[in-house]
Amino acid sequence: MQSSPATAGAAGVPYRPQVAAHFASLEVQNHAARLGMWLFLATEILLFAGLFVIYANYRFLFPEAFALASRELNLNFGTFNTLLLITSSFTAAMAVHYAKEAQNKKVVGMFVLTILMALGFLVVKYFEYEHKFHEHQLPGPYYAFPGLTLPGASAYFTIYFLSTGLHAFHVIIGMIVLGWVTLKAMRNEFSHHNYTAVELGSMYWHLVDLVWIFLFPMLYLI
Amino acid sequence: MSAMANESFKEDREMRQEHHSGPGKYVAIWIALMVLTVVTVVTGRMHFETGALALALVIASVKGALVALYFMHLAEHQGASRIVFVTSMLFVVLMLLFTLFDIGTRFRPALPSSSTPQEWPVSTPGQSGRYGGGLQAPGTNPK
Repeated sequence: MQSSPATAGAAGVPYRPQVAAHFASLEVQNHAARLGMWLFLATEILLFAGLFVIYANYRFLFPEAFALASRELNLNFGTFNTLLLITSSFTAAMAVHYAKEAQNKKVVGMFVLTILMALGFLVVKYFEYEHKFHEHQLPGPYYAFPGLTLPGASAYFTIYFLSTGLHAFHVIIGMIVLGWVTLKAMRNEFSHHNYTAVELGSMYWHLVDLVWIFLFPMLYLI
Repeated sequence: MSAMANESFKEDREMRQEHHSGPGKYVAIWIALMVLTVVTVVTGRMHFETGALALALVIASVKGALVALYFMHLAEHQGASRIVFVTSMLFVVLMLLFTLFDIGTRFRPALPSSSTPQEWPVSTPGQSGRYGGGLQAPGTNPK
């Protein structure tokens, strides 16, 4: 059994995680961790699915209002944010690659880039929200935009704020998770024996990207 | 050694046969995702009369599949992770389709009065016929 104790912080000694007694090897333990992460991500997918269902049904009921309301969004901002998030997903994937090769400095670099792009995403989102507030394109009873008075337009903006808001919340959580993994990489913890934290952290980030890949055409491109 | 650990050894052997994707593949996927984003924006701006939604959904699904398979390593990991992902996707589709079937086949007064629902592929008068309960509201069902 490879159950060498965790030796974080000891100079010169590569970090090796502990293997619990019921796992045959570290690889099996990592596999179990990965499966647990997938189960968690499945619940996340179903969480967002509720919003997708609301969207589909209201779009079916109010097709014209949804099409016109989506033209009120800034497609340039949306496209820029999509490209930004895809690129950040790519740097997160590269971080996993470098973690397997024990190049901790490059892991830090890739995750710092990812977090910066996440920050950029939120800044663009802030300007979009600010514009929506200014135009009173707000959810439910707060909707008071004179340019579009079709029934269903307020429902569109309710769904817009709920889904992008929940997504932005996930972006913030993702930044915190990746920041924590970056700190671990700064302590030189990762190698091909130990990269589960990098892999699972970046899996969370890919989920954030995955959800946005569907939100973008749904909201901006009707 | 318990039965569980034996099972675990089998997993261990199987996992050693997996190979991992390198930076070249990640770059290729990244470029593909960027190109597909541009394609979906360009085709979305054209506002096709028919098939715009289907095209947008197909492009988004292809992008999502690329992310899940290569960035999230589903392509190289065997077994249970795939089942979890596919099952969750299946239930998303079920939830979407069955609520849409409900909304799409209701008779008109059961929908919000201000709504202008899209044409459903089959006509659903809902008020007469075998299961319509014999309702004959004037003007709603010319039969």
